[in-house]
Amino acid sequence: MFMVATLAAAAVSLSATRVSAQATRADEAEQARQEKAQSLEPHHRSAVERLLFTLEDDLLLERLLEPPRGLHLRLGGIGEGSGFGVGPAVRYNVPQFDVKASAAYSMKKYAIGEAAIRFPGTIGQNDYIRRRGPYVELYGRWRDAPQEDFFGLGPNSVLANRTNFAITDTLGRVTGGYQRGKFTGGVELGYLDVSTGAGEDPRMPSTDTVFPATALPGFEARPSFLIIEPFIHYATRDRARSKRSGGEYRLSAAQYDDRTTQNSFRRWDADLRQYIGFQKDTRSIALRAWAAGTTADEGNAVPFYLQPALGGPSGLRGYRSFRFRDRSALLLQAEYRWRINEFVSGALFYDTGAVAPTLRDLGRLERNYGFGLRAGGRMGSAFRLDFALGGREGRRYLLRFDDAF
Amino acid sequence: MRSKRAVWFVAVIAGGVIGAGSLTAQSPQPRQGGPLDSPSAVKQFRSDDPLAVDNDSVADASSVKEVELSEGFDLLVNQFGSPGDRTARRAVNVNTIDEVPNSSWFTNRIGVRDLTIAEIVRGANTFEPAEARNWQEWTIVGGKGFGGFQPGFRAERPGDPGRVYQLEVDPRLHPRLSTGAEFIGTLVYHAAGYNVEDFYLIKVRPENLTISDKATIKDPSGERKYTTRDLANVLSVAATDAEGYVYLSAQRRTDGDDLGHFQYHGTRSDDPNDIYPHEHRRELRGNRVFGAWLNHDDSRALNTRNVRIKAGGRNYVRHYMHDFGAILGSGTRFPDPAISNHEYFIEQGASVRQLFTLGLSTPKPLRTDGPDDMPPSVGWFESTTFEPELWKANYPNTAFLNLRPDDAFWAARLVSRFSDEAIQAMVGSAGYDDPVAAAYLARTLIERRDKIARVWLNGVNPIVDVTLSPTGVLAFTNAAVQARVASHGTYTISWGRFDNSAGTVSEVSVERQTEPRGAVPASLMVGHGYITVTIWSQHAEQPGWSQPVRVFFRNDAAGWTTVGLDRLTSGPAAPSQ
Repeated sequence: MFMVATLAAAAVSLSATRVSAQATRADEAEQARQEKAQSLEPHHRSAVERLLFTLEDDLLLERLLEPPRGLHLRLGGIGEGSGFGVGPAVRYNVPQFDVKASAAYSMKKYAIGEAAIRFPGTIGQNDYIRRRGPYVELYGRWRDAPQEDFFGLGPNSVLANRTNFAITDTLGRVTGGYQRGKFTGGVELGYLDVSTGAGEDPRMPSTDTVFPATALPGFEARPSFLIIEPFIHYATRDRARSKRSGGEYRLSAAQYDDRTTQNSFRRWDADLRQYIGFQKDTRSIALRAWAAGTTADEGNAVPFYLQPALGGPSGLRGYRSFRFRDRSALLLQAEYRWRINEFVSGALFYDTGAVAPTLRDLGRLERNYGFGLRAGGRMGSAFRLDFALGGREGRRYLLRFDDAF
Repeated sequence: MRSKRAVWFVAVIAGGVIGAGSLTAQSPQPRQGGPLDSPSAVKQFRSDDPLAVDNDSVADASSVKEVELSEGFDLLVNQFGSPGDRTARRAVNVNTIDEVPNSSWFTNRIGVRDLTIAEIVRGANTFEPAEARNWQEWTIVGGKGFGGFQPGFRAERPGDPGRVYQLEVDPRLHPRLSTGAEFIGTLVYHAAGYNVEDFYLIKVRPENLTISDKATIKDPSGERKYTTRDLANVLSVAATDAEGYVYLSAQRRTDGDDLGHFQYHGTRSDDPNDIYPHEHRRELRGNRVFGAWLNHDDSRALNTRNVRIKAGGRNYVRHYMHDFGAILGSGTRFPDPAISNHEYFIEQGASVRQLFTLGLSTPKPLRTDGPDDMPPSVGWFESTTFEPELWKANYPNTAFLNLRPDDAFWAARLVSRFSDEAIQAMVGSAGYDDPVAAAYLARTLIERRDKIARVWLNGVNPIVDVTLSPTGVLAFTNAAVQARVASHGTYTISWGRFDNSAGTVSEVSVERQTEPRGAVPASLMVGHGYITVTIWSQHAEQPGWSQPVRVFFRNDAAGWTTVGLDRLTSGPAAPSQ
C-alpha cells in the first residue's frame, strides 16, 4: 500500500535529531541549543577574508593611492613611453584649497616632480558634484625624459629610423578658470623651459646622430616659452570614466612665445568625443576626433618635440608612441564597447589618422583596428588590454590603467 | 548599500578571469525535492505540534561578538565558491504544518491574518510615518563613513534625544527613487514577517540642518571634523522639491548591540540559538521570491543585521533585513541598469557568449523595449519582461539557490496576500510627489505580484488552510484560486487512520470533489487519535498541482486539530476511486 510506505517515512521537519516520543518539539530544539551553548566557538574568518575586510574597512587602496590628505603612492603618469613609474606623493585637501605634490621615477629612467595648489579645493567633488564659480590653480613641473622616441618628421617617416633623444623641461603655470555646470572655461599662463640632448636608450641611436639639425627644429636650442592658452571645455558625458553616453568637447589655442631662441609658434587643439549608448546602456559607440595644428611665427620654427604626435595607447594604437610627428595632426577613433558581465567589457576599435605640415596637406591616413578587454565596474575601468592589429608595422599589445578615450 | 568601490576592486581581480575557473552560473530554478523527501524517517507528532513559536532566545547569547563581513569576500565566496549545504531538502525550520514558526528571524503577520492598511503603512515604526513630516530640525553628528553608496549623514532630532538616525538623499533628478523604494521595501518586508528597522521619509529645508561641533567624518585619510562643505557635497547631489525641501529618508537605529551581518549559509558558531543552517531556513530561501517581486538585487549578507537584544535578563540575537535602497528601479545613486535582476554580476555562459558574439547575443530583457512611461522617480522597474522564476540577485547565495517549490509557494502566498489596496497604500505613503510615478509603481507591483502568484502558487499543489470540523466536514482553500491565478479543478481525497506511535497509515476510503471540501468517513470519527487525508488536485492547465498534499489531524479535547501538512514534491499518483 503506497500510503503506508510513503507516510511511514515522511521527514520530520524541525530537526533531524531523534528524541523520545515524550519530548516536545520545543524541548528538542531547546536541547539542541543548550548543547550548542556548551561548545561555542568564536566566529572564524579566513586569512583572505580578513585581508579583504581590512582593505575595505580601512580603505587601504584609496589611502595608498588617492587619499584626500597625506602621504601616498604615485603610480605612473610620467608621460607616454616612460614605462612603469612609481614614487611618493603628498596631498592636502581642505575646502579652501587643494595642495598636491609628487615625484616619480620609471624603469626607463624617466623622472618627474610636480606640485599644484588650487583654490578653492575640490574636496568631495565627484561626477555628481561639479563646482560652480571661479578657480585658480598654480602648477609647477620638472620632467626628465632621457629616451623619447623619434622617427623623423612627417607622414613618411619610417620605423627603421627609430632613434631617441633626451628632453628635460620645466613648466610653471597659472590657470584661471570658471566652472558652471557642464561648462569650464579659462586661460592658462605658463612658462616652459626645454632642453634636449642625446638619447640614452642603448638599443637605438641617438636622434642627433641620425637626423641632421635641419630635420630637428629646436633640438640644439634651449627655448624658454611664455605661454598663453585660453580654453573651453564642455562635458555632457554620463560619468568621468568608462563613459557611455553624452559628449566631451575641448577647444584650446595657445601662443608659445620663445624668449630666448627663434621657436615661437601658435598651436590649437580640438578634441571632440561623443558617446552613444544603446541597448539599455550595455553597449555604446565611442567616437573621437582630435585635430591639432601649429604655425610658426615669421622666421621661427616649431620645435619637433612640441609638434602634435600620433601613435601609442591614446592615439594610433597599432603604432609606437610618438611614431608620427608633424606640425598638424588628425586622429579619428571609433570604439564599439559592449558589456560582457558586470566587471568586464569588450571593445572593437578602429583608429585612423595622419600628420602633415598642415591639415590641408593630409594624405594617406594610417589606420589600425583591434580588440580590447576592459576590467572594472559601473564606476569605471581599472585597466584595459588592447590588441591592435592591421597597422603597417605589426601587432601591438597594450596594458593600460586608463580609458582609451 | 556599502561602498561599491571595494566590490569593484575584487571584481577587477575576478573580472579578468571570465571563462576561467568555476565561474558559478547556478540555476535560479526552484530545486525539486531530493532524498529527504523520500521515505527515510518515521513521522511522529509531538504534543506541541504544530509549533507556533521557535523559541530561539532560550540560550544566552552574551558571547556573540560583532562580525563585519567583507563585501569582496562575500562576493567571491558566493560567486565562485559553493558555501553551505546544497542538499535538496525541505526547509529545516518549518513546523509540521509546513509553516515558519515565529522566531528571532521572522514573525508571522500578513500570512496569518488580514492586516489593516493602517498597520501595513505603519510598519515597524515607533512613530507614525505621517508624524515624520514635521521633523524639520536636525543636528548632524557625523558622516555616513565609508559604508554606503548613497550620500547621507547621521543626525539627531530634538524630539528623540540621544537617538541617531541615518539620513540619506535621493539623486537630484530622481526624487524618491531610492528613499521611496526603501520605504516601500521596509513596509513589505515587515508586513511579510521579517524584522526591519524604523524607517521614515522626511523633507527638510537645508537651513534646518545644523552641524554639531563634535561631528566627524571618516575618509581614507582618517577621521576629521565634519564641515559645512561635507554637507554641501551631499546636498548638491540631492533631489529637492519646488520649494527647496530636500527629499530625505531617516533610518532610526534599533536598540541593542550591533553584531554585524548574517550570511545566507551556515550558522554562527558563537550563537547558541542559531542551530538551523541559514541556507535551509525557509524565510531566507523564500526571500528570493520577495527579491523577485521588488527587484531586490542587492539582497545579500551585507544588507542584513544581527542585533543583540537584552530582554528578561537574557541576551539573544535578532536578525534584520536591512537596506532596501536599491530595490524597485533604484540603484541608489542612479536608476538601476536594465540588466540588473536578470543576470548575476558574472555568469560563465553569458560571459562567454557575450565575449565571442561581440555583444550581439542580447539578453532578452535588453531586446525588449520597456514601457515608455517609467518615471524618473521609479527608474527601470517593469512587469512586461518580468519572469519571476528567472529573477536573479547581483550574485547567488545558497539560500536562494536552495529555494524549492514549497518554499517558493510559501513566500508567494505571502506576496499574494498583499491586496491591491495595500500596495496602493504603501506606494501612496512613500512620498512620491509625482502622481504618475506613484500610479505606475503601484500598477507594476500589482502586475508583478500576480505573475509571482501565477508561477509559484501553481508550482505545487496549492492546498492550504485545511480544517476538519467536529462534525467531520473537511474544508480547505486552493491558494491559487484564492489569488485569482487559477480556477478550481477536481480534488481526489484519500482518508486514512494514522498510528502516531508506528508512523503508519491505514487507508479507509477515497472520494472525488469539484469543490474544496470533503467528508470524513464515519468510521474515522470514532475515538481519539490521528487521521490523515491526502489531497490530489487535478487541473489540465496546472501540471504543478499533480503532487499530493498530505494532512494530519489529531482529535483531542479541543476537537480536530490540524497537526501536519506535507506538501510533497515527489508523491504517488492519485488513486482511482
